[in-house]
Amino acid sequence: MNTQYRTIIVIALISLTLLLKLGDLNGLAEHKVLRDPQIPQTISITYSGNSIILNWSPSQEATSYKVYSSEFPDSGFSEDSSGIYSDNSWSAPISEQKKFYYVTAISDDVNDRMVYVQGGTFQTGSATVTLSSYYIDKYETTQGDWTNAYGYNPVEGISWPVITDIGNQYPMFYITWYDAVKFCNRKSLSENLSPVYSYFRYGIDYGSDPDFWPRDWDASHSYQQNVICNWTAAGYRLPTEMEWLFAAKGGTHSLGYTYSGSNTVDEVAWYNMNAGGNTHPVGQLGSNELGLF
Amino acid sequence: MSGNVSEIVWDIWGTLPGGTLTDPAGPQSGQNRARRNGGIQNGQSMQNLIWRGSITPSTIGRDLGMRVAQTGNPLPSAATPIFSLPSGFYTSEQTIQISCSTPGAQIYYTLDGSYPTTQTGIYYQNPLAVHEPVMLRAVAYQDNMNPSLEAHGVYNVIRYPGQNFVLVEGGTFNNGSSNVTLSSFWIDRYELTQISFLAVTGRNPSHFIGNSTRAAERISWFDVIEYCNKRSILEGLNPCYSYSANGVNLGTDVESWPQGWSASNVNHQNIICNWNANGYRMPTEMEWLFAAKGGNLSHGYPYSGGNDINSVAWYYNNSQSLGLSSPDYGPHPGGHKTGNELNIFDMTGNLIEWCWDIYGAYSSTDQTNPTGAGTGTYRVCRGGSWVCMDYQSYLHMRGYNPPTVLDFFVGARIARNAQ
Repeated sequence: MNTQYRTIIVIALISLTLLLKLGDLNGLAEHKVLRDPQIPQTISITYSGNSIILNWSPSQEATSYKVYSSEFPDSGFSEDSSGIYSDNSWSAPISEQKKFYYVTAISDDVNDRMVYVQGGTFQTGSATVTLSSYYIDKYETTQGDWTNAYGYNPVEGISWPVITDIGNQYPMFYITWYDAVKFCNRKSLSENLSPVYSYFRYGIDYGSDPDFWPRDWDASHSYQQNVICNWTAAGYRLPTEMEWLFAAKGGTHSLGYTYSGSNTVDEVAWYNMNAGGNTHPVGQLGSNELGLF
Repeated sequence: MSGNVSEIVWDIWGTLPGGTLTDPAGPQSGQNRARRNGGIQNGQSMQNLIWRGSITPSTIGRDLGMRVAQTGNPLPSAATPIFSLPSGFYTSEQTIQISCSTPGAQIYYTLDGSYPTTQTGIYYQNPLAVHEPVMLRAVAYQDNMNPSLEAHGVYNVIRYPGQNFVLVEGGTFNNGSSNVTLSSFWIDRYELTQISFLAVTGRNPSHFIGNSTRAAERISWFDVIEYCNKRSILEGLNPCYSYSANGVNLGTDVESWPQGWSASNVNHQNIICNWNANGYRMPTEMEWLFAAKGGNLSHGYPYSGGNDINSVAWYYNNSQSLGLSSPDYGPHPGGHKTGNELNIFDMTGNLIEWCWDIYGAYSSTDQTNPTGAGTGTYRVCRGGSWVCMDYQSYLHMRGYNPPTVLDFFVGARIARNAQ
């Protein structure tokens, strides 16, 4: 289930005149817990130039957040696409039509993340590729996923360069192919699924629990051949390149876009012209034909 | 899928083949792996779905990430085996039953820490009788199913304190500089194993994974202190070591010692040994040497147990020189070479062994129960290892290391007072 907790309504008084009175009107900022109390306990509003900035307390359960706005306190709310999210905050231009806001914490169950990709046949280059059905994560693997599997977020330990895109909803980066393989097995084991990857070296089968792999299992490029994939196991694995491509193109629902989900790159992709040098929380731009971000 | 992080995929990098392909999974061999789409550091053209790139399996990048997939129609797995006994410390022989809820599944297990395949595992038929420390790993296999998740447990079965220890009767010998007189003591026939270190400390820092009956390496002198005290407490003995900081003795419970006590070489002289305690400790250098020479039964061999190093020791020629792919590369479980006059194994070769002593010049005057130099930087380690040449392995040779040193040829052997 994709669980959405609508937790808090913040009544924000946006016009400049009212802003001046905000101190007096603090009592009007209504904090109404509508559902699950463990999701954002507090929301604060600040203004900077012509922007409104919402900050909320982080929720461990949340994989992402959505901001809704309306001109009226109890009707007309819609998801607000005018703003920019960062970890536990959101900023947007001040608008007279948006006086009321609430923040929704979205908590994706693990199972919800995996989208079923109906098998099919597609053309790529000079090949005609037929794929069996498979599942693929609607999001890139996040730092939160990593924390769930390992108990800590390795990105937090990086002292240089200075990194600000740190948090559960941000994608994991600074990982190697070896790290990716190991993560897949750890995630599988944490969910009691049969791990996909086993490690063999010099005729010895080290099994699929990375705790029991040789300490130097990834110490040489040539050791990549020691990782064996069991394609019939239920656990997590990297997609094959063709699985990735078929899913990115929208599978059997493909509309033939240039980028995954659009012909306009800015609608679907964080890249060097719009990303500001940082990765961004997963799921904020448009998804593709299969709902993949 | 376009943008944010570039995504690592399974396939080995290579030219995409043409023709008709079903569930392709990339080339069979190659040096690099494929990735798809660009990341935040790349331009628009790399976000185009036709773009593909390569990385080594060890490449990291500020915008290199991943996404997971799952097979659409996986085979079910056999149920995970269940052990009738929880992991832990036991003072008598134990019986362990293994069960599996998948009808007809066959259980294979190992006791040495290796992964039980249907070839390398032992087929489970009857309950296991366990009378020494073991690591039990078990997997259930059933036709047309994937192997089960593995079950594992560590059973630290010590029937009596000092199981597998040898009594070295006290005596007098000459160490080359002076006569040394020692009281009787116990010493382990075998080097400290990975299983025992794991069972006592909860950690297995050794480099050579896969057979945990091997001697434990990559353990520092401080690690051995921790092991000795924790094992003593587990077995109801008086721990030998306490920690003294700023003139205050913090007692024998390692967990109550200051954070980071074992991380810095300068702390080594904060460890105090109670030579009257009946718990586990490192041998002194002279105890180690006396035991290695065969005690009062010594034949005066240059290596512990013989004149032929090949028959008594794992050393460079029969271990490291054989190369990584040899099963004899690396340290071995104890007891695979001939024992010495006291039936103690591997005092020459396999692993260099930590001793208690601070390293210093031998005394030229006769001594009784010496415990090493009063002050210094290094702790003694003795006995050669699987990476040492024969001429580096003579019993008279001394070695020393900073107490925090971790090496895959340095381990330990444990002793006790004989009262």
